[in-house]
Amino acid sequence: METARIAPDTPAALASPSASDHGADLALSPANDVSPSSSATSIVDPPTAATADDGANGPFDREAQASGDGNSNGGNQVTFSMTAGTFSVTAALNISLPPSPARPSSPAEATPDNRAGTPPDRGTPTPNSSASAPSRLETVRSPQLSLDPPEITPAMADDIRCWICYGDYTETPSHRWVKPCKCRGSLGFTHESCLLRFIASKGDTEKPCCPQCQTPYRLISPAPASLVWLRRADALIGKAVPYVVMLGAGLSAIFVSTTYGVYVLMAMGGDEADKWLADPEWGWRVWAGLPLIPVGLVVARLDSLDRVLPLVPLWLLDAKGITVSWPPSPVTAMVALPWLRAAYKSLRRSITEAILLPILLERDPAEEELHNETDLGKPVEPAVDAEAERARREQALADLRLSNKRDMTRMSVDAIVFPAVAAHVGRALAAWVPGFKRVFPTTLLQSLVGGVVVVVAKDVIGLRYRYLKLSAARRKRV
Amino acid sequence: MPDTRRLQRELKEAASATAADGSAIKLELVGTDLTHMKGEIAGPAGTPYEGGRFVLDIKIPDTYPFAPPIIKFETSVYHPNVSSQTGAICLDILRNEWTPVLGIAKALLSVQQLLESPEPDDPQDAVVAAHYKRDRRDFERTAAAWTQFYAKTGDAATDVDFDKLGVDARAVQRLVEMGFDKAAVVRALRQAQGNEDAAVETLLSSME
Repeated sequence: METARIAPDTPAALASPSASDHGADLALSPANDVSPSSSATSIVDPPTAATADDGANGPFDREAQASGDGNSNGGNQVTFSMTAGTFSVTAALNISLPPSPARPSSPAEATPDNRAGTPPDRGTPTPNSSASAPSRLETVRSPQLSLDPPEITPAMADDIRCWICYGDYTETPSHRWVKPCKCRGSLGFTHESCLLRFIASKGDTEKPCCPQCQTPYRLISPAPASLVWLRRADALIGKAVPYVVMLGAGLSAIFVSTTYGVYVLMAMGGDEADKWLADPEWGWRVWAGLPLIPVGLVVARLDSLDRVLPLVPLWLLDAKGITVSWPPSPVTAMVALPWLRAAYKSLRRSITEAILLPILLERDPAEEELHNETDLGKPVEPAVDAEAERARREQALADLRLSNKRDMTRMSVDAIVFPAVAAHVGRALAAWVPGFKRVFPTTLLQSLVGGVVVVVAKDVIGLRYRYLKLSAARRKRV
Repeated sequence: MPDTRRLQRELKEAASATAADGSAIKLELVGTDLTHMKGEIAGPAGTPYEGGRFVLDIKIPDTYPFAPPIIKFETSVYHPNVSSQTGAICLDILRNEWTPVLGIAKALLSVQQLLESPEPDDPQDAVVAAHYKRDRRDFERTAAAWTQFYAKTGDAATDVDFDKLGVDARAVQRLVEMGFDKAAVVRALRQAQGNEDAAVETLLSSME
């Protein structure tokens, strides 16, 4: 059974019954190689089964058969309708022919073997059989743009060859031949099966069309509705896959973030946090807040947030929790932290600049000499010198700040690891430093102080490192 | 598998065409395998390729006739659209303009047509194309010398301007006296860029 059929891209092919007066519309007939009994089970819908059933073996037999009916009815009109899922093709069989003596009187006479053996004796294949051969040729010359199989007269048969397999018409008249484009002469004909293979070889990227005349081929797939729906579902699933993957990745990210958030809370807050988390009634704040903890940790590292950060906890946390007492409540501690941080940062900058700037401003002995030489003999204007000195200083400051840029990945890892380190340091301090537990009784406070210690230690080491690097760079010689 | 029936038909038709109207184009199987053929085209009159017989190697891909045959010159040709090294042909119908309507014989005709009208703006061999554009006369003399040497048989091939082949005539003479085949000598010398010792080495190694 065939899966697709070809017709030139023209509205006529899908036109109303009146438009198809070229002849019997046999595009709807089944593949001609099937046996008579199976032909009824092919793509033709039940209404057409009456014609398809009685021994029709090929397009021409079908026509002979159909026109045989037409003879008695004197021009009946049979409407074939085929539901093809997305496509719906309605074509008509409009037969108004006088009987032709040349036509075989019964379908049995027109077996394919018979015709293959004696092509000139073949029954006239077209319903317009009253016309003589030349006029029939004309019908073909004016491109017959419909689903009809081409009209092939005995006179033409010898010239016709499939432009794809080079098979002659006379060898395979029982195959389905199509004339799907506007190409004239013998080039226009091809086996439908060859053409389908040709179109398949072009892949899906190109719109199939005739390579000579560029007429687009129109493919009709008589697909059952279930196939159409399954195909759509398939396409939909294909499209949805990347989104599902993204959704999965997002969900796992949230899952991991939440777990991490829980870990941070437990590490920093100790038993209190444990108790709080054990509360089965998690509100939306918890559900949203836990996965946001790692995000917040990283984002909080951005310098651009320095201005807003001190205000965020005030807005996020319950203001009622802010009390001035010792030990401070968790809320107070969280609110105070950003302020502490901002103050610390500005202090750190001043210290860094105070320590590192002198190295940058220190003149090379060689440069110094050069400097003196160029100025030799010229009275040095103090104002100019001061100006230059100021520019140098600004340049050095800019250099310093630029050199302090850290990359995102390092910073993120730093931020993620930080709570664990802070908590452990806090616990270690509580264990080893006498009196520490008395001043900072809660786990949260211990962790916070641990964090402060870690930050200060890290900055001191970092500063020392930069100092050594800078002075080493200064002394570098080639 | 390629369409064997079509290939057989094409071969038969090419044979009958050759028999009928002289020998503008020849097409025959190399062995028994339908996927490997040899073609032969005559150099078009009025071109530097006139009088030459050019042999082409034709391989039929599995998807034939939906994919074009793979055709290259076996005879060396000096032409902007043919690689002077490999014989590869730059011709649209042998690439994306191929359609099953064309057959192997039509493809060979198109190659013959290409000899007549080179397309230096879409070159396969950039050096040759540059030569063609720079000095058409000199290009034609070189192309004629190549035709003379590679594409003609018998005595015609002895009287060749070796300078035009890009090799030293005396070097060719010396190596031929050593007992090597002349065409092989010229090829080896070109490959070795005139270095005689290197050429001898190539020749010796190719004999083993």
